Amino acid sequence: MTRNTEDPGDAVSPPLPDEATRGVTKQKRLNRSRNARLAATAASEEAATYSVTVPPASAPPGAPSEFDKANPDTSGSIPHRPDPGLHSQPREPISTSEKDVRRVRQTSDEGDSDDVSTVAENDRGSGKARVAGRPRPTNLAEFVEAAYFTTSKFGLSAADFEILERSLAMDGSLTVERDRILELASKDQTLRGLVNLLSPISQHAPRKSPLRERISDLAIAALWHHPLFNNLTARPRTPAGLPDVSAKRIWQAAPEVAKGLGQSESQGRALRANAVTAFSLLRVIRADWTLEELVVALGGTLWASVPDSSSRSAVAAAILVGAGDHDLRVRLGVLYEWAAHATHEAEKQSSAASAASTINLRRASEAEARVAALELEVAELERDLSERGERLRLSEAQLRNEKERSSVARSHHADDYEVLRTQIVRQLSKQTDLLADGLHALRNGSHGIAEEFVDRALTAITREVANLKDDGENK
Amino acid sequence: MTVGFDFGTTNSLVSVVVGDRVVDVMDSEGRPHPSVVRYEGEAVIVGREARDALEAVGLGVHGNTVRSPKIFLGNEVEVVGGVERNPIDIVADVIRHVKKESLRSPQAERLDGLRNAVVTIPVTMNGPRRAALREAYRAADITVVQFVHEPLAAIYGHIRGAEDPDEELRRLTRRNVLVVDWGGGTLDLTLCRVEPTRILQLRNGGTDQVGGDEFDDVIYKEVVSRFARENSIEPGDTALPEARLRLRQQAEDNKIALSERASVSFYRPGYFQRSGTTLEYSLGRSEMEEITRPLVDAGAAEIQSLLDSVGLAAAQVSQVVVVGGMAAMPAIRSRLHEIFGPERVVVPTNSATLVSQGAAWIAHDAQRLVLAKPVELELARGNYLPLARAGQLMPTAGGEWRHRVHLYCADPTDGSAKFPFVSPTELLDHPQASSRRTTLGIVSIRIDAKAPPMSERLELDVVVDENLVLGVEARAAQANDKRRAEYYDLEFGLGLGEEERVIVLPKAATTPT
Repeated sequence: MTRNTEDPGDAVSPPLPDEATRGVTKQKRLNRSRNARLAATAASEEAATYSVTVPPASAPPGAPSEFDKANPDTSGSIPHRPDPGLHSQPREPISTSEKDVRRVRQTSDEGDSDDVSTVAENDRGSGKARVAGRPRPTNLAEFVEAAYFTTSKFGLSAADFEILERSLAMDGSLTVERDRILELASKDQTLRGLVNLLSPISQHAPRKSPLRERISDLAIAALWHHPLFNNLTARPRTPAGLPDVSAKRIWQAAPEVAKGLGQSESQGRALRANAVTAFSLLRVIRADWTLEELVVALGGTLWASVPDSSSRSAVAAAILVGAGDHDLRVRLGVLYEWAAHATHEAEKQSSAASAASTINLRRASEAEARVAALELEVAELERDLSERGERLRLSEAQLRNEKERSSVARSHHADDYEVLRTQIVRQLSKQTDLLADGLHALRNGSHGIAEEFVDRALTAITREVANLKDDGENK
Repeated sequence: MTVGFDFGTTNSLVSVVVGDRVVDVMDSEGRPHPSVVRYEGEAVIVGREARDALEAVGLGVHGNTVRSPKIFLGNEVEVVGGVERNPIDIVADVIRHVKKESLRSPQAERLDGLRNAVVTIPVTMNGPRRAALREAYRAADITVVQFVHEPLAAIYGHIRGAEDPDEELRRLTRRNVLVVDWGGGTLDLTLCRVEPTRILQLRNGGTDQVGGDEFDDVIYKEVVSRFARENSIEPGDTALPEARLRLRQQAEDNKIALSERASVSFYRPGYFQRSGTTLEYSLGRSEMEEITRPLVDAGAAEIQSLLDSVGLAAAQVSQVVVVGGMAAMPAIRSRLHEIFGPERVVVPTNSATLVSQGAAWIAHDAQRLVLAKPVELELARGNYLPLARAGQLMPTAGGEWRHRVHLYCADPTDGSAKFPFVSPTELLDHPQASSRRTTLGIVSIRIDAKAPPMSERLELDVVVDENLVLGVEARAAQANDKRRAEYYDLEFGLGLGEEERVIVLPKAATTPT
């Protein structure tokens, strides 16, 4: 898979005479993987310092990383000589998706096989620099020179380290080297040379060695010489002080500085990647770590937090395990990709959690509003219930009164009826007795008695009838 | 719910106020329940059935029947049909019957089980009889919330039950009103003073010798006597009991009928059993008046005596309210017209039941009796020590009013201390030393004659109990002597306005005053 060259001439460092003759195609493949790996180093450094996540959130896992695009010439193995052709090589984005991881492995195992094996042999301590025609650095100045001018693979053997250490012992001052590196750094606008200088030291220089310290001092001087860092933060009083900024801050500021320096967009990306890488490597060296230790530590920390369900974890773990002695930066790149993904996932989860939290807050707010509305409704219902209860009590009172009135009326009617009934019964009984006696008197010849009794009976009956009529009319 | 209960000598009746009017709870024939009880073995027959089966006239025991058992209250025992019976039990049988019949009437739901009653009593009923009557009610599961004199209940019912009570009250205010309660068994009299917010008894009187039954009896006997004399009926030729009963009922009817006719006839076929002679006698109004005049005169004399006792002339009585069964008798009305003038004699249409109705109104209005006149202790040198003030609330069921006075004997030389209890004859808010007093009674106790003056301590407890009986107990501490006495002849009053009303509580909730 090839891509068009974005900016073949974006290298800031002046190319050496033999750079033009160097095969480009092979180096392109190599650089495609290295681009991502080195970017991952910077990102991992970011993670190690617990700063804000380095890669932009917009860069999805599996897509070509910004680092890849911006820094095609910063591969994992440090070339002995800067190769302008590297800058124009099409890149392959490093992705930790299964497909892209496979691609990375292929890149490591196949496409980069020649270079990687060369570097590996050197790293395994064969004691020979495999770059033909290159003199081995015998002192620090030469090493600096080599770092700034080498465009091919650049590495140091154990013997190299011993030579350099001895040279330090003979001449402890760094005046010449510092002047030289400042001179070189002034031309190294993308900081590629600085990365070349720091990379082998971070990987292979023995811990506690004076070399690490000297190189880091020189590198810090060069770092501060660059406008990016010079403008980013105030320089500490101690000459060896690192900028007190985060890798993210560097990442964010680099494009603007590059633009101010008149650099192209691709150079800006290169500056951003190299600045972050150099900054990260410096911190590794100053902490007296090896790059491998950093990768292992980051891997242990980050992998441990990877969800088991993630297929990426298994793939990336396999890469780490199977990487063997391959370039640690390859492993760091994979780790970065995974970290970027994990960070992205975490951001997504965080974003989702935040959204869920927002939704929950909104729901809570809505629920509170509903509760308030329900409370109002309850209060309204209670008031309504109270009013209804009051009406019910009034109705019950009215009903009781009505029932009482009805009962009273019923009693009065019953009394009226009883009075009338018993009065008529008494009258009829009396008059019946009177008439019976009168009839008896009549039959026995007592006409006077009979007449009187009949008369009294008729009078009483007539009066009773008149009373009944009066009662009827009065009613 | 408290009802009015008139346990009368001849008839008993329950009345209750329903809404804005009073309802009489009569028997099935629309008449009060006769106060008659007959014992047939274990069976107890009360009321009209017992009354109709009784051919004998007059109050008292007739064989196995007791007519007007109330008159025996206070006695230990009475023999009825050969069986000794407690008068309280006999009265309780009548009360129970009235209660049962009332609760079977159409007004039963208004009676609330008939558990509480304001009960009327004759003014002449003494303390032990009142206590016995209360016990009889208790035996019938009725609480006597308050006793009230029959005539006082009648005047209260007359005013309260008027078409316009306020107008009637205004018309009678500051006037003397005589209530003549002439019933079948007794004549009860109360002379009242109507004041703007209350009715006060000025003087009570009465007799049980001129009741309506006495009138029926003398008419009946006189008719039979005159007919037998005119028709030479032999003395041994008597009538069958049933014939006598029917003829006595005719006498009762005819004495009323003579108010409208100049004469009425008595006719009883085969009245004389032996000869089979039919009794046929025409009785003119004047003749009946002649027959009953002794009774009417006796009643009139009782009235006059009452007026004399308070120094009032008939002209000073503004109104005479005649109630009771005898109010319908022309001879009595005529006599009252003669005494007071026809315009001042009022016979209410409900005169036969006005006593019971008055009690019902008192119960309904929650009225509570007050003492109409103060009760005083007459001291030496014409001084009077008030023992109970006029207007003192009288206790209701379960309550009593009690007062204690401490005295010292000023002159123990005669060895006795006398406690004359008096009451002003007239209704006076502030009786003076010169005001006329009526003596209720005197209690005398032994004291130490050798004690120095003002040394012998005397204590006097005055109590009015739930039966409206004034009890006094005098004690001499040094001589260790004490005497008790009771006086029931007190005058009471009733409020007429809302502010005068006091809730009458059942016994369980009554607080002693």
